[in-house]
Amino acid sequence: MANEVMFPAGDEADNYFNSLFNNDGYFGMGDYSGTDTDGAIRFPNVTVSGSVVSAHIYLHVDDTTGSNSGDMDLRVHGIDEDNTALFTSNPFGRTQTTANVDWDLTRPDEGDFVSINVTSIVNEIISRGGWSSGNAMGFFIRERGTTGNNIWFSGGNQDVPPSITSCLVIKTAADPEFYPTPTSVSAPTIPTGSNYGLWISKPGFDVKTATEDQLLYDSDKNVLKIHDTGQEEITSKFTTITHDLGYIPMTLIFVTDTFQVDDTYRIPYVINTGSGFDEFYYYVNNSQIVVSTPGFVSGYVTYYIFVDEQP
Amino acid sequence: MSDYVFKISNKGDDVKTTADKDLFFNGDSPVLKSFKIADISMVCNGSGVGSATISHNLNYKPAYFIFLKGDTRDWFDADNNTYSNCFFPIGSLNNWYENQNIEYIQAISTDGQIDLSVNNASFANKTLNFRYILCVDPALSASGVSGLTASEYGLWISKKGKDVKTAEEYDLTFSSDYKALQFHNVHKFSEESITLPLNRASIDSQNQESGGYVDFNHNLGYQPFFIAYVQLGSTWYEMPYGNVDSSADPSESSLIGRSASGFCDSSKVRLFVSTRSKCYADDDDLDVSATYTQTTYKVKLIIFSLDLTGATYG
Repeated sequence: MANEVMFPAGDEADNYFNSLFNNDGYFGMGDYSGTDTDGAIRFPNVTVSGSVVSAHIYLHVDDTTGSNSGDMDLRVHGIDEDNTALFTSNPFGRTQTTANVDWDLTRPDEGDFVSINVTSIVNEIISRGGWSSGNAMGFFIRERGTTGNNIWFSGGNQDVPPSITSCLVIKTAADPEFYPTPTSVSAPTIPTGSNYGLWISKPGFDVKTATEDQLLYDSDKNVLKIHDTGQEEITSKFTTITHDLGYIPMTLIFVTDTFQVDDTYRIPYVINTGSGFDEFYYYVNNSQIVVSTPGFVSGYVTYYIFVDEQP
Repeated sequence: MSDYVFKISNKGDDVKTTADKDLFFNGDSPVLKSFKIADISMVCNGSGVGSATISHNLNYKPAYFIFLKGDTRDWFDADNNTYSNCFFPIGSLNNWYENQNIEYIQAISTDGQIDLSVNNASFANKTLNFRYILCVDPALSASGVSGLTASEYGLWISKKGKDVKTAEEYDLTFSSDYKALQFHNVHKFSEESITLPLNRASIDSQNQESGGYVDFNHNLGYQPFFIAYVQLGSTWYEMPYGNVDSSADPSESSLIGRSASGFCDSSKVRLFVSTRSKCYADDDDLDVSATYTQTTYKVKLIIFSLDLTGATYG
């Protein structure tokens, strides 16, 4: 989204069986054979200042083999410091923020990202007098009563990088207007018909009273007038056709695939091939037309270049 | 240029000095001639597979235009209305169409017929209705007998070097046997703008859409044939336009990230531009399909006098 910034995790730690495990790219949380394990994660270079609209921690789930179908009951606090240092020593005694959020995490699948809203925590840290944009921000994710579940999450990339890095996503401003106010262009006044001219009606209709739908030609109106037409052999994805008009003309383009079949398509054209989309398009400028025909081994571009200028 | 030629200028313009591009008719410049305008329906089966054949009896592949007829659906916060009896040019995604997946409709011109086909589950058990316009003018070079029979009376102008009495229909500049594609100059609308904001999906907003539109009111009271263009960068592309991005989602190999298309009803032609950015966590990283910076897209339009709901012909 436009106003969101993602900050990858730097390092992580846990107190698995009451011992510090850090700098290995992963951290565990939950209940390990009756022993509670807390986690901590740190995000360096968080370049925000002033309060944020929203903030979420996204943890990548690395290993769920120690969990069953029950929830994990966790609580998230921030580390109440201006610029949290690396977890080279046990961080779990550091002061934590007043703001906190409970996280009842339904057992995820390995490879998932799970997220928790930490907006109030982030705003408490940013509102500290010593916070500066670019400082590091840390969080504790503590055990809160989980029984029989433990999960390993990916940490950060400042030491031994995990396969996928967990992250902090902060939205600094409200969403932009994704649907701008539409424009309405007034209808023109259609000229009244002439009392003279050349009209041709369909057979059976009186040319003097025929409606638009009953006329084949009416000299009060313009026609598309062909300046040049022809074929160009396709030898690469892009086929260029030059013209001498000096302005951007209206055009009509067809492409023929002569490899095995002999099918002709009007373009522009996007087709779902079943394994993705192929886009056939063309663009026009003051001197040439460029036609894109992905996947064509052999074929032709048939072009009509009109005298009539694009509006 | 001939020393003698049949020309028609706009009212008030001197036909002898008016620039070619400003003439209403010029015997030196052939016009597109439609010999058949008609409707065809396609019933899709329970898997969304359907086909229809438009026979034409020409001995070559004709140029054609095909519009899908249907209702719009609610789309985008900008407009929660639905519009009935609208026409959508086929060729690419059209986000306003009730089913959206117009890019699944394939039209192929062959000797003897146009083959229409659909293969997408989202069309399951639906009946699709089309209006088509077949031209005398070929989509691949023609030679030999055209397969069309000319009237014994009328107004014909042949291309230079062709005997008007024996020329094949595709070698005629003009023939009163066929309907010419015509437009009032007042229905050429140039360069309206649509500004879309920066659009980049994130893990928090994994499928982010943005879109805007311009309504060109036309006062015709019927659904007109139209051709529209969109400017990307410095160049102009005909609509419907679809820009394919590689997908961030492993379940999709690609997606249409930016599209420009439109539809007409009896009071307006609506042209729109949309972007879609997707974010997905794959096995290696967080991937974003595309980032679209804030961009002002220009669109322009020409509305023809041809009534897409009018009587069939040919």
